[in-house]
Amino acid sequence: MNEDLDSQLSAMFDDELPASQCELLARRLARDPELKERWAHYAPLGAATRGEPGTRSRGTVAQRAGRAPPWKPPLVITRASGRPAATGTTPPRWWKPVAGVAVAASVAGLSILWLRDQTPVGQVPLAAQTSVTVGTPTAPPEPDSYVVPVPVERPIAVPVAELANYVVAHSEFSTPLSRRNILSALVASESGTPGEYDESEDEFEDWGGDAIQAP
Amino acid sequence: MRYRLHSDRLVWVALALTIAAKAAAQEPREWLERMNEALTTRNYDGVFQHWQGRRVETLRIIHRVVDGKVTERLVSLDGSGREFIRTGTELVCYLPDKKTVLVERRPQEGPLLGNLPSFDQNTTEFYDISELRRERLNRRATRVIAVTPKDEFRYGYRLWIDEATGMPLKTQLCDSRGRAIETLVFASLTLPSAIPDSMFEPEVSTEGFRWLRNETGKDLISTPMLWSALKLPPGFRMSARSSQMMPGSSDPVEHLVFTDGLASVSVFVERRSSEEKQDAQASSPQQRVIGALRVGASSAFSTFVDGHKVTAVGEVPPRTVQFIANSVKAEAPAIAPPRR
Repeated sequence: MNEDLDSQLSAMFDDELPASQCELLARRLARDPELKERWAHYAPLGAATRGEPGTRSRGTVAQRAGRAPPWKPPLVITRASGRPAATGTTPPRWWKPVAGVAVAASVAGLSILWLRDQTPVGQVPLAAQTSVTVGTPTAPPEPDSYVVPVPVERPIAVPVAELANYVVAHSEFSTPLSRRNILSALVASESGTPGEYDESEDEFEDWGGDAIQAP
Repeated sequence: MRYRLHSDRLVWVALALTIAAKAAAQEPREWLERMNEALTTRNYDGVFQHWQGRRVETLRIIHRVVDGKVTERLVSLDGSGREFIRTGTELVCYLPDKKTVLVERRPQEGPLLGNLPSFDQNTTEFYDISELRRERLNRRATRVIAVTPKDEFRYGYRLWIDEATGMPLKTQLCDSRGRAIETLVFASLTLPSAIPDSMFEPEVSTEGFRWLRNETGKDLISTPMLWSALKLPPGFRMSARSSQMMPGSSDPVEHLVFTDGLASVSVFVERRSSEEKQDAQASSPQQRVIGALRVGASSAFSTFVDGHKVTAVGEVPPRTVQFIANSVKAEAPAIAPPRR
């Protein structure tokens, strides 16, 4: 179960989670404290992986990931305003990160819901309202932002039946294992589920000399 | 004298180690070849679960080979009740939920089922093939073999191969990060010496169904142009080219196949009607990109090129089909005008 959630969160940060599942996850974020903690783990990792400005990191992402297991919040999380978490001495030590995570995650969850509801189709928001910063308690606050992508609807012109024809025709030229997988998927599922990958994947680097010319 | 003895021993030890290392490297590849051979040459009857995301469906596969002729039946035991029956070069897809029967005929001269892919140097250049461990699965001893792609243009596999029969009892299609996209796992599997014809009869009543046929032939020329991919992802090469009549298309469709030895991508080039051409011309270049689709773990991408619809389909990541579809261009004028 936890692996599923991790995988969903990871997919969300990689822009690979379908919009419908994103919404469900965001709703769950709002009411599930454990998930909020997981969110807090992935948010800075996602931002750092993308090299977003303002992401402050001690060591590599891999090192930090290794240090902080997914079920534990990072050392310090500050809120969107960039102010460090409350420094009072009364609450126990664990309260600060947990509260920070909770606030950040709630804001994040609500922001996604709000963005998905408000953004017109085809318009990608410049930046979400979510801000997550990783740093030491004494570090000067730096605003940090994470762009929550909204999938752009594109016209799909390949009819489902036509696509099924193509897949069947293609299967005849696959390896035995692939053929079995392809046909099983076709037998098992409703064909022609609209694609669910983000537009950033649409950009390709020029492979230059590495590309192999077709015969 | 003593020095020479030591020297000889060292040579023998080095030789033995080299042979052992080579054998260890060969072994996972040999397991894959055994698996392919078992899948295509053995009789088997099994029930397996097909997992994709959180969806699971139970299917039954019956596979028979008599004198090199393959007969196979794949049935959905729940859900849609779809059945696919292959007899030799003909594949009949019964789709009761669509009230449709789709018939696909493969050309005789094309790659046959018995034509096993070989895991050659090209394959190992783009995939790491390794044995992860030995594991018991369904009370059977299996070898867990990982086929890991070296870049993001292809998917990988984790395979639980039965030591005794070479049959894959569990397979996982994985993305470049090793996450399972699709899992097939057998709940039961028998390998009978003979399977009666009656086992390959469809259970679906086809009364009132639409029959759609794909005809393939050498004499069909799809367009007055020769199509080819100007650029391909590393390791991919064109392996087949044919033309076929597809249901719903008024002209033959050109079918190009590209493979890296393990993964394959088909590209279909189809001439569009004048209305579709007008739509395509009226739209901006951005809009002309028709879009991405998925069928199971297969990706598809379709776009317009020179008044033709180009669709790439394959069990590869979306970026690969898009790369190939966008690289397809009319290379040269026709060999001959279209014959109808």
